[in-house]
Amino acid sequence: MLLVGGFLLRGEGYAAERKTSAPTEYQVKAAFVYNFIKFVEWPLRGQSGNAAEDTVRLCVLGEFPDRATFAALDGQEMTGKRLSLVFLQEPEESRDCQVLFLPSTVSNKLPEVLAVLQGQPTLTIGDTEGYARRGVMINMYLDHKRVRFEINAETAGAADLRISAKLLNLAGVLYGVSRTEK
Amino acid sequence: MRSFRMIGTMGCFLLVLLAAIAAANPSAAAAEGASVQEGRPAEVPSPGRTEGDEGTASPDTDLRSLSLEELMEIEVQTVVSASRYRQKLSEAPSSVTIITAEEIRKFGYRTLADILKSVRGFSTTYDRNYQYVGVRGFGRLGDYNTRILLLVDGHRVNDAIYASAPIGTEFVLDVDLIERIEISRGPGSSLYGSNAFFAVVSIVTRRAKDLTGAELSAEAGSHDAFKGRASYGHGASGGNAVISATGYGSRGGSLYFREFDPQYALADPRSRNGGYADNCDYDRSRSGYARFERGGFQLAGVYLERVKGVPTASYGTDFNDPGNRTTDLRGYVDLQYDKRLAEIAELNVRVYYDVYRYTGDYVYTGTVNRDRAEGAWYGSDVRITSRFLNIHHVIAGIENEASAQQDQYNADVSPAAVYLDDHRRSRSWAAYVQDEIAVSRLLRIYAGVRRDHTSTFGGTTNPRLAAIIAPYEHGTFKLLYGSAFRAPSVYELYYAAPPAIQNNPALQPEKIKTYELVYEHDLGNGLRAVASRYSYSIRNLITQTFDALGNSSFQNQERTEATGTEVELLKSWENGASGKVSYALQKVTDPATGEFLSNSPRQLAKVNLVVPLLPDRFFAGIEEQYTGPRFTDAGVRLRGFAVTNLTVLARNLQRTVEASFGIDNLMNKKYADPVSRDLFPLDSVQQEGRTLRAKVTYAF
Repeated sequence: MLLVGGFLLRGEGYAAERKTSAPTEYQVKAAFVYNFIKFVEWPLRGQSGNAAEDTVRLCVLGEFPDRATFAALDGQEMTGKRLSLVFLQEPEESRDCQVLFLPSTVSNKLPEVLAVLQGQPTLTIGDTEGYARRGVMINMYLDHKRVRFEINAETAGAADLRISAKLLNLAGVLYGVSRTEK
Repeated sequence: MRSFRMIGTMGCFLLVLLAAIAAANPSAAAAEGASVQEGRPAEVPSPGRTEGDEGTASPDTDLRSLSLEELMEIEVQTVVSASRYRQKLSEAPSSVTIITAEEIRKFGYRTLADILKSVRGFSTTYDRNYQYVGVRGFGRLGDYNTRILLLVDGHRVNDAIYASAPIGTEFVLDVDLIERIEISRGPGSSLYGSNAFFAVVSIVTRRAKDLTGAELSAEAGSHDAFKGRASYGHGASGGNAVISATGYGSRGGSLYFREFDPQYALADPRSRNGGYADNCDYDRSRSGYARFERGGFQLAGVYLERVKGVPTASYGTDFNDPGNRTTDLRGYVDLQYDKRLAEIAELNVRVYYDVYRYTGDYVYTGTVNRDRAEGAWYGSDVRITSRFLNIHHVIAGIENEASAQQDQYNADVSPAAVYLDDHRRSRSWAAYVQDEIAVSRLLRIYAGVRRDHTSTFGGTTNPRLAAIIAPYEHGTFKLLYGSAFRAPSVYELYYAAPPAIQNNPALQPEKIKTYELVYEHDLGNGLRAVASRYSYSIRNLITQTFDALGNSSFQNQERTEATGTEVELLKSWENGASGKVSYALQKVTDPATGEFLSNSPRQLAKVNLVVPLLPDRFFAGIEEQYTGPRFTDAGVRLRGFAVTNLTVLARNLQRTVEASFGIDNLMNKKYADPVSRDLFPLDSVQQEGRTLRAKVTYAF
């Protein structure tokens, strides 16, 4: 028993420093979102909104329980651009976003959101079953605890976004590839 | 006592070992400390165990600096976070409990019965031959777990003679090979057919992704129990394979039964040896498991053979004779093929072949009576799942099964005398369809029905209707209705040894109707609450009845009605700690007499807690299980009791070495489980006191 006691005391020092073993689902998904942005090219014409050229507006629409996890993305820099994270409530507000994350909670509003974004160069990202088929450009899912993603290249192409071949190659499922490969 | 002391010594030795493992790698731990200062999610677990991965696994790597390929290799915690996975749970048309491989390790579970004991509303009893499960207050004494359906990777494990689901050491798999168990409460016959009466227990085995390379495991415990396992998993782009073999043996302790103590006033005439059964509680098994996957094909093979001594002198056999024993052999080969049909549908085809052999040796004044059952059955099923119009998720399938052999024998070995030599064959088919309709985000409806047809009794149709209502962000209501059936087993239909045991080929299936209201609420911060209120009624219950002369047969006789309430809180903390607390209040009665059923505890309470003593490396798993008072078949009231189990587990950061030490029934609580009349004059059997166990697993 003495042995266990001494040993526990010893462990205490580390306990405060280190958190959990595996990262949480949304920590990994946030990292994916960060990576997706790196592999997408936006059309050159400036956004209509007030967003500065060197800022990428990353919006999250609706209720989202893991806000805190995504908040870590705010202010992150990538290849000369700065991420600016915005939480939105109404689909209409999403026009000014270069990237829009759509949690599963907005599933019923999805047609409305996609209608608002019609013709806008906004990269839509989700993590809900069926989202890619319904028109969301990149949709993450879990396979044996690992994050995978599917891409709807058709809607991305229609929005003038160019998704790099590398991303397309890694996608588990592709929708509408033939039309954008021209 | 001798083995107790020996294990104690071994425990001390193991604690030293635990300390050594957990204390290893201090420099890595220091480096981790530096990286987390900004309060950002910084640590990355090693995605695999290969050396090439070491670079990505360095603890100060930021997740965002990883490449997509590296990110795709990371395992995420699906159980605790607000994820699609959990959302799925809340969308399921029943109240589901999930047990993961991590929980199995951290609580040191050794059998499926250990695992089921921790589940809300479940209880188990042990008669020192087999383990029996009780669900929601229903645990028929003398029933061989025929009212739950047990699936391993979708393969039905309940056999074709007794329809029993093995959950003790006679279960077909080493529990170390389990990746996940999904326990769905309520009737499941609308999808799964017979035996999905109270619950479906579905086991998913570890794949090559979860078991890479070789793994060796050794375990020792009280009563000279030893277990060894060797497993190997290999995954490649083309396919993957897992193979494993396990050997287990336990000498068993010396057991005292007052009823067989010649000093006892009401001692049984067979009493001897001061009421002690020595060397009669042995338990030995060997099992093998193999699974191969390639291009949509999955081939699995499972085999287990167990020999168990029967120390209770059941069926009027000689007391304290190690010749009383049962042997169970189960095996199957299962081939599945999955294919995506177009974009919206998936096809799954399965063919299988199963065998089951049972031999019971029963010694009557020195003469061995041998009871045997031999079953062989095969079948196929085809299932199509399809999603269309964004709101429909349809599952439809057909199943066919033929039992080529359902034979039962009973004979004295020497001098030879045959009492039963019954040969049967049967066929069955079923067709089912279920549609899950996502009417809106607020409402999801399940409607399903299945028709089963069996050559033994004819047909039965079982529907299910469920409405899943999510009126606001974090709450879900589930309104569930379903019916289920249990076909009479070949044993119940045809086993006969006149005049004492009569057969009854006219038996009909028993049926249950269940109504349930479930509410699940996500309270945030990893806290989740579940509350359920249910009622069920059973008619045509297949019951072993005794006539005036004491001769028995099975009859569709009784009715049972029950209502119950269950609540559960589940919580996971950021530091890796997790816990669950559940309480079940259940009232199960025979409406004809108004009496409570035997072996039906009114209350069950459970607490499970995992505490990381040293992050990622050293854990304590604590379990507390309270079972309320129960009645035996003879009407004796057994007091309620609480049992505490404690397990400590240590592993290195690479997870290549893992050691655990556990104490079951820490407070050495004395309690007894009710048993069937087959054990007369016993109506309850004393359970294990404090036992110790130690285990080391090494992966390379």
